[in-house]
Amino acid sequence: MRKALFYKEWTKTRWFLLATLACGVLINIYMLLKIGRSFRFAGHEHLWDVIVNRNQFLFSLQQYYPAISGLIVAGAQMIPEINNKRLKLSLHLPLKESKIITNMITTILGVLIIALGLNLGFLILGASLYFPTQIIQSTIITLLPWYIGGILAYLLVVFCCFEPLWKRRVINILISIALLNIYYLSNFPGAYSKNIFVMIIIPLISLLFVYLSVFRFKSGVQPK
Amino acid sequence: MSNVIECKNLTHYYGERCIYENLNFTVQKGRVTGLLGKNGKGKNTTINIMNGYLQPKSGNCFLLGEPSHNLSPETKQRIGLLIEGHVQYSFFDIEQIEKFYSAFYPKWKKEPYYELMSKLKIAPKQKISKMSCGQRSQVALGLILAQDPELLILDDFSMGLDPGYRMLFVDYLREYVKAENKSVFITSHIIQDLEHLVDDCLILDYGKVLLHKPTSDLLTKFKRYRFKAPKNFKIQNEQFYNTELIKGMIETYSFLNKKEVLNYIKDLYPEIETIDEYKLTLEEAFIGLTGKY
Repeated sequence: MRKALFYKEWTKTRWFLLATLACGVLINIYMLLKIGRSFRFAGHEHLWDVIVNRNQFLFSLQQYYPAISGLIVAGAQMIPEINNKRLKLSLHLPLKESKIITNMITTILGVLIIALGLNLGFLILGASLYFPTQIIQSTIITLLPWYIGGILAYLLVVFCCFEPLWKRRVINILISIALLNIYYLSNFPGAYSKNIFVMIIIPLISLLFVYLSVFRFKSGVQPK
Repeated sequence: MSNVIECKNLTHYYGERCIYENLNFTVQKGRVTGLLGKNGKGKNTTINIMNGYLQPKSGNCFLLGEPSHNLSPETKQRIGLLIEGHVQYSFFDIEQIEKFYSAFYPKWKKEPYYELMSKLKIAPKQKISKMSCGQRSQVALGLILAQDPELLILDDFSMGLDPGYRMLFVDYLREYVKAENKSVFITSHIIQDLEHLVDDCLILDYGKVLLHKPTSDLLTKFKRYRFKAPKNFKIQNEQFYNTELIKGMIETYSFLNKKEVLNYIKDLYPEIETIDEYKLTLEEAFIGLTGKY
């Protein structure tokens, strides 16, 4: 049954997942080529000055990529479920409802984390060809909140999609935008280094929001 | 005979609007029951409560002995569900969806599904999203047949279907249900389709069960009567339904036979000597019971 549930979620999202992964790889290749070119034409001293003295982050092009990936993948997974209330079919499958929902979310969230992880790994690997460990560490610390933001974006779309009432859904969307915005306030290197723990806690809490929306859907919440 | 569906004292409101109060009915095993009612009389509400997607304000609904909002996986396996509009996973093709569902049902029989698909000349790789509404309805029906459930809950199966597909659906379902002794709870906006399918009619009106009878009783005993309207005609008897004056003629509906109706009318209006009796289709009987408006 678990395999069948994975099969369903994978059928819905596979092209979107692969497309976002491919886009991420292309963005990385572009950034690494650009840095290599800068090394050659502007020189090591200039780049060092830009990074260390002027605190510029060279991988800013990656900033919104994880969030956009999360939004696209969640949309590909959830829109077919809420369209014509197809979620009713899913919840009628002969498994416990909590198990069905957990399986749906963890399956695609897992694949999304792998896709984002591969992308981040590729970038770090490429960057390590040019930069020393200290700069790589700072790059990871800067990129990490954006990548966690991608996971949060996925969960928040799920939270908004499962909500049965449009009025409440609009409120959920506004809350989601506000929460997601926290992750993208700055591209200053290491801007979130002291708040990483909070950045991780927010997606964990938003998982509860998802179950709240499912509970409301299951109870058949109607407009008053 | 045991009950496959039991609704006890169901009460539901949408905001201030009462849909029904203390609604009670049961559906027996092996029977095909049609839920009939005009728009807004609580058909969808009942189906949603039954499917577990709506919590009633009070009361309980049991499917195969379990509360409908909290069915165990084992009981879900025994219930086939057709959602209004024949909704299915449209991102799958014919083979993929069969493969997907087969993993969940131990009694899965793919033969009736593929038999239906080949009858409709649907290619195995055809995507559900690219099918017509009629073809989608057959996919949904085929999947339910393959599931081989004990209880089928079919919500407005006729929605969006042309007469050919409606008839195909009904014929296939009737054959299956009779051969396998299944229990069915069905709703449809096109009542005529149910005439040769349902064993029992459950009609909702004015927030209550207006009638719950075998269809055969309704078709043989419930009649329309017409007679010339006497002066100042007024009838106040619960055994007459929707009495109307139409172009100088009185039209009324009743379970009483012709002789009983004539005697009753003659007692009130001795000048009435004859009345005409009309046999009704299920749709006409439904209108006779609930009115045109």
